[in-house]
Amino acid sequence: MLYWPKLMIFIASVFILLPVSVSLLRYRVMGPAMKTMVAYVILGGITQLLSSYLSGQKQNNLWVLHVYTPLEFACIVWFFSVVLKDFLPQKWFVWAALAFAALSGLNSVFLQPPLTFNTYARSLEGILVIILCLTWCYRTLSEMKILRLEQDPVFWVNTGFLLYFSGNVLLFAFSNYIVAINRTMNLYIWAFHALFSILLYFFITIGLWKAK
Amino acid sequence: MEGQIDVFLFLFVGMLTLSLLAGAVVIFFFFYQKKVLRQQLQISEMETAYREELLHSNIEQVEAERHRIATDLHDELGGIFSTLKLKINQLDRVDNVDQLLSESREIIDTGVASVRRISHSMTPPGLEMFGLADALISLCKKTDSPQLSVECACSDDFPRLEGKVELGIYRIAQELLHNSIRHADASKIRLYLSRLEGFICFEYTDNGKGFNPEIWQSRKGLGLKNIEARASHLNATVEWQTWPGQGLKTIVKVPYKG
Repeated sequence: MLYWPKLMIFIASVFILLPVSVSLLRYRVMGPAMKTMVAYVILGGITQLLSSYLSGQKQNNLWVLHVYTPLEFACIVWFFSVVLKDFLPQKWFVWAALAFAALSGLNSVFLQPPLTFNTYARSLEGILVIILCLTWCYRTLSEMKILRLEQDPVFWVNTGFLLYFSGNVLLFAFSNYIVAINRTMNLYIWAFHALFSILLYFFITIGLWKAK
Repeated sequence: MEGQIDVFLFLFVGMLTLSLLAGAVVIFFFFYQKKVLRQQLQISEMETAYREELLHSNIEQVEAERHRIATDLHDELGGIFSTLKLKINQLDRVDNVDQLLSESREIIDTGVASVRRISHSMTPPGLEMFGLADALISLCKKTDSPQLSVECACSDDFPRLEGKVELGIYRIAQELLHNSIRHADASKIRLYLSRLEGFICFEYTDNGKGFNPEIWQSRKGLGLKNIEARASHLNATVEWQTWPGQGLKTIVKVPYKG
């Protein structure tokens, strides 16, 4: 019965190899915005590798998430700082990344210890990324400079982030609660999350492929 | 157990709903952007077509003017010189040289008058020396007749303008007068020049037939296209206020930094 959720989670964990490979293949032809995505997928790959290893060793790997969350947010903010550079002051992005890292650290020290889910930081990250995605949509609509959206790599990456974080922000908020109440359902819900991860990395792969 | 299922159901439905909403936002964004771009493209194409139309109208106007000048030169000066040559050839064959010379002088006077008329038709008389207001008043006086009352007025502070602006407005006035006489059956025409904040305003009013502006937009004649082409050349705006049976009011506003 648990075959499909486990398979889905496994596929999601190896799916990261696809954007990593494409980013290494096309790194030379990429602009500055998509190069930040290379950092993002490599960070995702390393995190995936580490957490899989710890999981294989039957060790708690949730502390990886505490380290990964501010780094992931920094990469995403870096990406948006490049694509929104003429729209919002660069300082805002730097401050946002630093403030989030500080809040995330405080959360890990005082509120949610590293061996539990950092739901507060993950939820806040989700909301902030959704705001950034919508800001890009607004900027694109107000400027109307992109003639063919489907050919624009930023559109694909933005879509991936918007779908992933919108779909998962509730899960991030309830992670600690659901992990304690039902293991089977917990697995199903994380399989659902895996589906969103695959979707995210798929969209990022399209963006990396179209990058120029 | 039921409570646990409710929590998971809430989570599943919540995640699904939020992701669907995000998907809807992306789809809306995608198609809306495409639609707006398509509209912008259409507007841009319409503007290009309009500019091309104006260009063609300009070319047609120049050709028509050349044709008119060629006809004037051929019909008037050609005839005058031929007659003059004939008279000069007769000089050594006739006894009454004085009469021939007198006739020749008259022919030369006619020729000079023709040259002046042709030249004036190309460059309006007095425009360069006395300015737009005087040139228009003079034009109106020439056009005025018992059947057609043509008035021209001008605000006291009306300034001298750049040469091309004066000529442009003068030509627009000529074209409007021509249209009123030829197509509108007008009996009363009024021209008014004024200086307003930031622009020069030229108002032309007639009590002719008028026309339906909606139908007319798609079927502008060469004359009206010429007016718009000239206005566009001056960065001016043209406003047409008209309706069948209610005459025509045309307002041309030319940017002016006095």
